[in-house]
Amino acid sequence: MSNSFQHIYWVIGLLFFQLFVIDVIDLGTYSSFFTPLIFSYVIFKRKLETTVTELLIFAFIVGFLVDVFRNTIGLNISVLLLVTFLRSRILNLISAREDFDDNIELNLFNIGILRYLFYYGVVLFFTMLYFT
Amino acid sequence: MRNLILLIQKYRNLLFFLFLEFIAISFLFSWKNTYHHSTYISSSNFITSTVWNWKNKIDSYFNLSEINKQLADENAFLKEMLLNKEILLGKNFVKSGDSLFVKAFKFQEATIIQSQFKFSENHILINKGSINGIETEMGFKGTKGIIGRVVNVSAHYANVLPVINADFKLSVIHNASNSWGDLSWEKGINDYRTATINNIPIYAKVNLNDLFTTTGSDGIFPSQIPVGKVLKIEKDQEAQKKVITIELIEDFSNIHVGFVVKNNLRSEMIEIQKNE
Repeated sequence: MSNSFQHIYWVIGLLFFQLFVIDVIDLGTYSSFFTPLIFSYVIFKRKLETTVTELLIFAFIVGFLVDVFRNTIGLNISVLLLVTFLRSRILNLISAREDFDDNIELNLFNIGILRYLFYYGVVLFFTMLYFT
Repeated sequence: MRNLILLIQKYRNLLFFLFLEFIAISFLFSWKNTYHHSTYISSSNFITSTVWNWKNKIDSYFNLSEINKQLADENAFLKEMLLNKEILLGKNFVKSGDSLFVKAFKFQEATIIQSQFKFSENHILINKGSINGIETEMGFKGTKGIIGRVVNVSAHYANVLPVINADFKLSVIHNASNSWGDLSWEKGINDYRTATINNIPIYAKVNLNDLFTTTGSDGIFPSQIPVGKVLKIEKDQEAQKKVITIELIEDFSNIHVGFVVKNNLRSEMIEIQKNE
């Protein structure tokens, strides 16, 4: 139960950080083309043992919340669903499945900086590609 | 039958993914095609607009001096207009208070509680809604120039489609040559400071820094509201047209107050256009 609350806190925290901090940063001319979408972190840090179905439902809810605030209903949902579905394939790119325990969270400290940057970098790349 | 169940079981993740993706994409298209579907799932609904309102309350403390400056500029502009009008009218003309004089446009002040300017689908949320008489297809102007048009209204809030959204279109006029053109905002080409004007005839003399204003032909805005200044001119020899990039008068990264523009004669205008 406390785990579920933890996820809710993460979703609310990241959503607010995305909307009120990241989205407000002005990069001048490049602003229109580049805005990091960090809210997908909440999905990609989930444990390996999490089922795809559970992840997809979670992605749908998070995407929906972002879309409602950004007036882009459907856009963020569909991109999050796509990268969530490809999560295991992206993980295969950085390492063999046996390298990680099923019950650890996939964060910076557990899988190493380089691997994590590559993992999340690929996710962000897919997301940006979809938007353009 | 058993094989079918096994097949579904085998590809259940893919099927579930496709099912959710289908819902998402149908959301995307129904949102694009109708304004009414989006009333409850847009930022003008109660929950999201309340959150944006909180944020705006905090933000506005930090922007008070900027808002004051914008309002002072607006006051100066309005005073100038008013004084010039008195000189122009004289005693041989109908005074503005006369019952013969029909006031077509009404302006209602509104605070911008959320504005996006860096995406390709930018939107603006204002703190006036249907209880204040706001309706869709009303104009929204800032203290310097046009901002957008109202596309979605809830009881206390309204969503504005700004100039810096690819769905926004408006006819504009080049003041120096009186040539008409079509204002649009092109994804990937324009940023929040610029927009593009198409269909200006190639023979029209357009110089850098020339002003473009509204034509008033769509009935959303009155004529002569500033839109932007010429930044770049390109010639399309084949189409015999000029493609002009303008620098928008309004700074969309820094807007706090604006005015909803209501045209009392718009329905009459649309009616007569239909009959043409």
